[in-house]
Amino acid sequence: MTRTNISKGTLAGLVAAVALGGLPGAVDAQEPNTRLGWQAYLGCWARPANPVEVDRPEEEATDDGVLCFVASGEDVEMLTIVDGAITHREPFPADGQPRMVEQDGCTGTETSRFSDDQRRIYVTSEATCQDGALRRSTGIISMPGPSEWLDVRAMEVDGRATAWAQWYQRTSDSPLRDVGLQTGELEGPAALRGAAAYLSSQITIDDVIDASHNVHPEAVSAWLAQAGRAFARLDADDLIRLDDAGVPGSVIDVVVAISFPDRFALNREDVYAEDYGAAGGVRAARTIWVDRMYSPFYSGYGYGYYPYRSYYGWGGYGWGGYGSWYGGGYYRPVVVDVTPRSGGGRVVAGRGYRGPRTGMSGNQGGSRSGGAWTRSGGSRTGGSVSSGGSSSGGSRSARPRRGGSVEGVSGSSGSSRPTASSRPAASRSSGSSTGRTARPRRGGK
Amino acid sequence: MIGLGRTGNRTLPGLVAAMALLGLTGVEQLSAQSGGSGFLFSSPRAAFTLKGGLHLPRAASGNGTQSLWDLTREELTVENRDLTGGSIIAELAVRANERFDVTFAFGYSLTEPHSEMRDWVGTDDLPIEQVTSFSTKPLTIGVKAYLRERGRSIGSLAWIPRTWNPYVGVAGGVVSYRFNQYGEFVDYETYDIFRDNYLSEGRAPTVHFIGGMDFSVSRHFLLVGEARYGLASAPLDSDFVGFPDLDLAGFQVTGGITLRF
Repeated sequence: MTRTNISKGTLAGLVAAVALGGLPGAVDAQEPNTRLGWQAYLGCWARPANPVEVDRPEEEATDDGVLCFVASGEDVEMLTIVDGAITHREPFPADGQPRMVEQDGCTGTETSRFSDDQRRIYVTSEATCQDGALRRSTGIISMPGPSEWLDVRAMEVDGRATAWAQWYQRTSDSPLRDVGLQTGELEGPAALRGAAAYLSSQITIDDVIDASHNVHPEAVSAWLAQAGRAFARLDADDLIRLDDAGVPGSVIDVVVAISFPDRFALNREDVYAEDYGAAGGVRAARTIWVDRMYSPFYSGYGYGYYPYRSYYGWGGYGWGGYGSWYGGGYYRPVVVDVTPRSGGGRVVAGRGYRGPRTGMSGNQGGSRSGGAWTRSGGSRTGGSVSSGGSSSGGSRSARPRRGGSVEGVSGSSGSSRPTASSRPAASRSSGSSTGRTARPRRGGK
Repeated sequence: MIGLGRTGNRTLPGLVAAMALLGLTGVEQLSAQSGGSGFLFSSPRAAFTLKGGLHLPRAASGNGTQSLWDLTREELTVENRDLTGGSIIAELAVRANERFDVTFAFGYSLTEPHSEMRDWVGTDDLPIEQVTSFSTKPLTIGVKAYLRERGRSIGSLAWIPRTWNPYVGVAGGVVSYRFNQYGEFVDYETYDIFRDNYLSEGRAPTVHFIGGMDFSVSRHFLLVGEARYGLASAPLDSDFVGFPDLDLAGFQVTGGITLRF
């Protein structure tokens, strides 16, 4: 392991990693050159099922295969394996060095580097396309959970930024073995768990500050909202640190909102057709994000689900770099709304009552497997979402009424308001005589 | 000077403390909904303050003519220090901006020195005792200016209160007063000791000059120390003849607790 500038804030995570998996000694023993941050990524990954895929065009409904990372020196190689064949292969250096990229008529540079604690990869790209427009993109690759990683990007076109996100979940490495390759990862599941535990440990205030210094605020907000990790014991000092460090208010709002899910509804809207229908979408009162998506994939404004459906990845964000599979993936535009929670639900015209969205209070304990995304109390499978909600006192479910009755609420009565006893008002006396007479006080005048 | 009236005066700060305790208990239980550790989700829109302390009437002389206060000091065993009484103030402050509040305040001050005729005793050698009860009830609207920003907004969802902040203010309004002397008095013509009850009530415009300091002790609560000087004078009722207007001015030093919300 050559990277040694681990920040103090990660010490606890490293200790946990060592305890769990023998890091970093085990890393050095197996792959001395592979960066610590890559360790947990080694292996194969698949996209979880997205609700929007119900709209996926039939002709595009092909097997996406899997995305695999194999160790390559300090960094990794990315491979797309479809039907037992490698369809794309390219290195993914995270060395902080810009490299030229050219694809789909766009030319520019892209830079990837690990954060100092190696828990995040910051990606920056800048390209000019045939239409002359300059496209900037910054993003964060992170591992919010031990068996999933998240790629969040903010694409800037004409000064406006749109955030996009994609999750990947760990899957079997058998496709890699089928093509005769090995991950080069640490041998033994304990070591892998240790690395994953370190990378997926709690997001800290320092992490937010560091991310804000490296990527666009929209990407940071989307990253926080997607990861959904509440900041335990968030206090005024934390907020002052964020503000003093120059973290934008919109990002701090997300930090506050995800830390107080009972008070704020963080509508981490993954934009899709359902919400951006003819009515223009369901927007909450205190929007801190754009309420109308700017599509970098078309020449003007458009609702987010169009570029989503159209497989972004050409001529703009996602070009080059990670290869065709990666670039052509289902990135989901992300809109983050923070609203004061008043029960968290909404009443939507023509659609009735909707309860609070799931996944707003953190995904601790949640996991994705086999295309189904399960959280504590809720599950998402094939586009449907169900949740246990956040109501206190146990969950209830509805059933059709069968001549039921409405229970009345009887009020209590009988309390009597105490009556105040008033002090008798002083009244002018008639100047009654006391029967006494006065004499001068001794020594008086 | 017999301190019989002091017990009543001491109950005012006690009442303030009891109400403050009730407020602390109730509001802190609800405060989890309105902020995190050391911060609120938004800057407060208003604050309610309950203060208690001392009221020191100026009890001015009559500028050449004998004022009622002069008479009281000369004839009765009442000194200026004996006029010190208790005072409570309830104030609602509505935030105009980060530095200014519009205040609505109601106060009540009471002093009840017990006294004797300074120069006379009964032929039975017993003192000739009476009580002077003086109360004021100012109702004012004012402006309070904080010398520093009261907090720091971070993003749009967090507001961190400043720990301490001095303020000055001015308020105007109406003050109601009640001056009552009752007990035994001497008829200087017959030297008879008689019981009587002299009363004057009324109201007058008033102006208060205010200075104080807020100390933030939690997200919702502040301790406040305040000094205010009120100016007013009002005519006396017919029980008191030939006196100039009664001086209602006085200095108040109070401490209390503020609930901001």
